[in-house]
Amino acid sequence: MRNLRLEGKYVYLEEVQPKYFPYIIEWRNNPENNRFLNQPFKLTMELQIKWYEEKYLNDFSQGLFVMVDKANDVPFGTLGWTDYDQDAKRCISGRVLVNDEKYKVKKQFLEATMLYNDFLYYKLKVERVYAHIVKENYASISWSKNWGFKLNKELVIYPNELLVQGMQQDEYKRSLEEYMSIKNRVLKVLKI
Amino acid sequence: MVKLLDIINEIKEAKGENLLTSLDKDMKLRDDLGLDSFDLALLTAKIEDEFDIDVFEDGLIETIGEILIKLEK
Repeated sequence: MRNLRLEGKYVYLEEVQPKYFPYIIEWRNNPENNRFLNQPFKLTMELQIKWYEEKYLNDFSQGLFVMVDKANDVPFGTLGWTDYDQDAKRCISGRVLVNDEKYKVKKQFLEATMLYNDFLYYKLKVERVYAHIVKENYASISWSKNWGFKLNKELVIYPNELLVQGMQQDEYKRSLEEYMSIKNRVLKVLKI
Repeated sequence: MVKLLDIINEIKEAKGENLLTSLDKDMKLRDDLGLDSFDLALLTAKIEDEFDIDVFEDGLIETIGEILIKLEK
């Protein structure tokens, strides 16, 4: 385990660990949440433990954070990356789950997203972050565009991601500069 | 109401959208004002900073009128 923890003013992000499994299983199995997931099967504790011990802990190309509200220590969602390529300085961002609707419109989610993206650009030192979003997932498209992602109209970097579970996805990409322009706007609002 | 209008216009201006000249309590935040989740998160943070109230604390709200009720409490 890498024991990653990102500290913010309103939230902290902790790398996934067994104490968060019950939350993640509940969130993942919520039909409202798993409609556009790449892996829409029913998640069980057994499957989660197997994934964590056999896959996650041995795979440093991926990571998963749990977002926790500092005011009440309540976990409220996840953010994560896959396909981290240190040489190519890129990764795929996703695994966005926010179970409680009210957190989708709260400063905690804004700050968590910012901490997470800072981690990708400044700790992992990626230069380009990619996202793959189902064409009909308008909420996710909107959120991603708001955070600076743009539709990749050039060479698709991850063609295997364009059709997953029978769902067509588009590839989006974002540079550090594109992220920073949004981050500066969010920082002004959050005053942190 | 004026302060709330200013806050919403700040958000719309940053998106390059036309500014509003007035607000109506029946206006829906998403459908009528075109605010998405990101905008609403900014709106919540700005209102909290200005009025020290988390308008979404007890759940989702949909209209300008519902925000005003929260601010009057």
